[in-house]
Amino acid sequence: MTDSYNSTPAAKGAWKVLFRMCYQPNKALFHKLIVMALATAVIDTSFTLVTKAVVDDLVELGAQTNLLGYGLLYLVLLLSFVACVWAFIRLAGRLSTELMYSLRKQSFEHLQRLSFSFYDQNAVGWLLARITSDSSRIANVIAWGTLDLFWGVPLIIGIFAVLLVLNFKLGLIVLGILPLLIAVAWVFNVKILKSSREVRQTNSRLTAVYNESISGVQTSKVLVREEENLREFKGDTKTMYHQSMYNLLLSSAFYPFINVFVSLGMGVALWLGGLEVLVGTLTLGTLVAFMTYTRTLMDPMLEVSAKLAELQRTTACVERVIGLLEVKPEIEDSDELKAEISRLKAMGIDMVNHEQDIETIEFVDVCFAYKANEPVLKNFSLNVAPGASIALVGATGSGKSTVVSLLCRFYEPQSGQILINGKDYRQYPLEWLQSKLGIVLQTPFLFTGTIMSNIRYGNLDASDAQVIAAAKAVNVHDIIEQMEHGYQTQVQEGGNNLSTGQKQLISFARAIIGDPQILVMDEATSSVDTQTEEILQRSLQAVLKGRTSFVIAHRLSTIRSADTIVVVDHGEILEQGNHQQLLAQQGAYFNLYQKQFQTEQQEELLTQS
Amino acid sequence: MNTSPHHHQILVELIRSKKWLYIGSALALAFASLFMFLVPTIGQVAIDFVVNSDTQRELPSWLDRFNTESQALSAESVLVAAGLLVVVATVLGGLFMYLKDYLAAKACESTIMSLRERLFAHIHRIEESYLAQSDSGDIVQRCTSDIDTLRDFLTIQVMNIGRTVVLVIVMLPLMFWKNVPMTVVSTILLPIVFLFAWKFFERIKILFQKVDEAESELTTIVQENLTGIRVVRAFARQDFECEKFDKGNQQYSELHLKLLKMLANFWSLSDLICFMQSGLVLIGGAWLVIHNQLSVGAYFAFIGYAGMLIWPIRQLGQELSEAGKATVAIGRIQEILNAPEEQELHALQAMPTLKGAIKFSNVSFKFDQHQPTLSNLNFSINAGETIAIVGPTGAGKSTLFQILMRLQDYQSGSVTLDGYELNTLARQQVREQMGSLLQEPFLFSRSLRENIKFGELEASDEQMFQSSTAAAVHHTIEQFKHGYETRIGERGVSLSGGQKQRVTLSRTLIKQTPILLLDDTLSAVDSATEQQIIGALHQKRGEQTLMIITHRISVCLKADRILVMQDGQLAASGTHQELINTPGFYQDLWAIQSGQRDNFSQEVALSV
Repeated sequence: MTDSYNSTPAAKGAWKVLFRMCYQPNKALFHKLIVMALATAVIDTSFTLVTKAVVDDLVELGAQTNLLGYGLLYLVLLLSFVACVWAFIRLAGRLSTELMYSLRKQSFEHLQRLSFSFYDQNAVGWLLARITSDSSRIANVIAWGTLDLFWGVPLIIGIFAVLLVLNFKLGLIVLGILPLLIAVAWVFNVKILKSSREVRQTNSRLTAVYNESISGVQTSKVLVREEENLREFKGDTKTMYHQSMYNLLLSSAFYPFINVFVSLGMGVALWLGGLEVLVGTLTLGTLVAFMTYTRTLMDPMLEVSAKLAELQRTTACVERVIGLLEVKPEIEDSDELKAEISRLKAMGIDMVNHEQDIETIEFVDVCFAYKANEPVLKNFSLNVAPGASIALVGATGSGKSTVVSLLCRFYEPQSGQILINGKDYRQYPLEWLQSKLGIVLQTPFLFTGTIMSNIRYGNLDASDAQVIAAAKAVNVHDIIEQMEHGYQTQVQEGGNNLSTGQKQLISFARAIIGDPQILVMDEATSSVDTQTEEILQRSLQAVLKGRTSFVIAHRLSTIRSADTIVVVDHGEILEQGNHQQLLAQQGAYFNLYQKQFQTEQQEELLTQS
Repeated sequence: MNTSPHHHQILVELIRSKKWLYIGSALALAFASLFMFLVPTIGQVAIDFVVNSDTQRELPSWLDRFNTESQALSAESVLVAAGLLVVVATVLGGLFMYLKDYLAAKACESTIMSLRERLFAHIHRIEESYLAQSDSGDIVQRCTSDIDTLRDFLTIQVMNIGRTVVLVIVMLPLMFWKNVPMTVVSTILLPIVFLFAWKFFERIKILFQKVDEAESELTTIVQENLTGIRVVRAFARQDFECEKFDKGNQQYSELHLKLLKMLANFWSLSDLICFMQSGLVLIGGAWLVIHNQLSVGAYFAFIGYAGMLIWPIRQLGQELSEAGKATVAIGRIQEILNAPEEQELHALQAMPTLKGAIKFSNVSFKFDQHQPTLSNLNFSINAGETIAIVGPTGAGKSTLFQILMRLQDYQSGSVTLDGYELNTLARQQVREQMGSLLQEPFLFSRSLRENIKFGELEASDEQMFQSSTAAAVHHTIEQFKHGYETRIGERGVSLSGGQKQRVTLSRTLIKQTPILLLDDTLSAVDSATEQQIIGALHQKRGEQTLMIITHRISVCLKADRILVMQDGQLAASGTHQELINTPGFYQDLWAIQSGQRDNFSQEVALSV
């Protein structure tokens, strides 16, 4: 639906790639499943032969018929059939579970390596669907499709083989209805799938309409739009009604249609077979067998054609998943660096967890654009002394957030360099750099789990005491303690049970618990209330001590104390210096400061209680 | 969950209104079952004919039947007739089956359609206070996925259960009528397979639920990972995330496999019972044939009957067990329908076109802690006046507007419009004559044209251009590639805050109303544009009463009077000149916005 909102190419020849991926590690399972499916088909075919024999004996031998023998034979067949069913469901179940597990694992792990530019172009919902619904659909189609094909096709062939052996001419006649059956089943399946998709689309449209109507209900009331809204909605429900009716009626016509063809076969068998029975060229049992087989034929026919139609529909899923797996990460350690890392590792030196400190950071003529022809940073150059605090100020879209994104190597400069300790940062392992960072983002994001585990996310080895120490350092300890379950408070999905301020303070604690050498605060205070802002402010001085920091903020109190204030405008540095120096210049910073000063005073007045 | 007697009221009501469709469907089904019953019965007659034919040995093969034409013809005609009848019965059975599905589908789908429309209309009438307290996501869910559950229940469960029940009701007596001992042999295991299936699915419910939960947990892990990818990367926690995902993935896989293993047990065991039933028919029938209690043809027919009954009966157990899900959904839908709608407490009077005088006398309003209260509010506004309302957050300014729009009803005191008591005027009529713009600009995912004409469908493009020009957004829109046809929202262009405010303003202005209420509507618009907009609004000065909530002195300067609200009361009122000379909120606000320089230079002096 949102084709425009993803950049993942649909892979060509995706089925082949997928099949290789699935078949190789699960060969044994596939083979066992196929054997079971074939065995089931053989037994399925045999049942009717027993019926035939019983009927023939009844006619020929009457009371002499060995009922006990047939009963036992039937029982043996039945038990082996049940055993086969039990085994193949378990096998197909295991196969589908295995495939689902590994498809999901591979997609998820691959996503962890992809760059931010990829995430910018693909909606979360879209990616989520690849891992959840597509993977499970593919796994199910492969596992149960294999089963159905290897049971259904041999069964169809087996039935015909038996029919032709029993009576060639009659067999051929029944065989005649097969193409008809296949054609009808195929047409119906394709139509049903298409119509189901339409129903789903209309249904999600209805959901969207409900969603919007509820969010906009006040607007509608105020504009007295209720009647018209309802009229429009009735149009949508009417569409839904017609599409669902069509869908239901297609499915309900399908079976009777097939049934008519089957009954044609049965009728012909009854007529011609009956005549042959009359003249003695056919036994009654064979006639019964013919009629029964004609009916039995329907099951594998329907199953196989349904599976084939599903297989066709799954092609799009397969292409999307394989397409995703084939996207190359843009930012990763170079091959030489990877080789170097493993070479050193063999010598017992761990480059990734190396203790080397970050001393100086230099931006040298850095240029960057998210979209071609829309440069965000133009020849940006900046020297950062060890332990300095940098405040980046400027209007929205000036490029200040991009500066820190590049520093964190979420993106890489398109030209120019970022040097760490005098060396291009692409020559260090990515993980080494990122493990030295502590980041607080504008919108705090917490994971479901306890507050304790959320703070610990910044340093997985931290003890409870260290977590508490970090919370104390950012003055959130008291707030957490006041909650009913303290550090064990569960953060709900999306963190809805905490205020934005609380979440921000917790993510602040998370950022510093790893004792990062560089602390980045990207508009960390812009979405919180003044009270939280004050708390953050109080902790900031102590926390920044001894670290290099990059702070993007509007609040004067945060900016004022920075060692260097950098005013960014349209991707370039306009002014640079400390608070006093810049004020004295009476330039851009002076104006910005003045405006913000007024805003803050007014806010204070407005929120007075 | 609500278990009041009204629990399923809506469903009962809707089904009752479609009762003829349901009854017709059941009748069609009965006929269909009858024809289905006929097919093996025709086979029986034909087979018995063949078996009992004495002339068996003497008859030549059908190819050279010309020699003994008369005898062969009669034999053949019986068989041809039988063959044809099989086809005809199947066709008729199929047609009745289709008729039944048609009627049932019509009944179910129209029930669902009415329910959807009812919910939709209801949502537009629910009391504001109820909506404010409820989670809108939850309401949407009840209107969509609960409706889907209900639809599945009606179209799948009810239809399948109905089909099986009617089939049994039609076939069993006929079978008994034909042959009692054989019927007993053919149906003896049916109750067992039914009970087995039912009990199994009842017991496995919890496992199904666990699998669902594990899957949604896994989904949550992925969703959080993708949404929080910046956090993940910022802490280089990819490995940790992979481990976390793997744990969830494994947990889900284990449960999924466990479920499939249980299902393998069920399907194989129930197959065992079902095929045992077929075996019983085969062997028991043969025994009856041998003992001359059953003809060979009837034997064949019963093999067919047994096959027609056993599989639907097995499914019946599962359907019954799954039907339980729907009761929860129905209850949740009913809860929404039970939410109170906006009521008229007073007799309504006819409402003329207003001039726009507004008077509040001793108005008090208290709702809950989320909504600022008003206490003893008194003021009056002449028709055509421009009034600015200022005050700190939580002073009750927006509440005041909500009361005027009749989104909330005042609890004591009196509000009059041109002398008419507000709560005796119909809500919709009040809203028709009062243009208002609420704090949060809300636009629908439609084109700009549709959005602007949202409340005034008849408006001409000329009027739309005028209102957009007044809202200073016309030129902006013209610059879009698709102009007024530009789609906004999720799949369209996203507008900036200021653009949204101006588009919603244009939407409000297109309705020519005697009273206009603007709630801090221009906060995201720069001050030059704001001046332009206020200027445009002023052209109607004297004709339109304008009340505008604002924080900007520049807006207040243009007002005839300024009301200062604090703590739900009127703290002061007067012209700009009067208020800046009185100590208080307005004077402070003015000091910051105009006389701030002293303060600031002080600050600068301190720093440098």
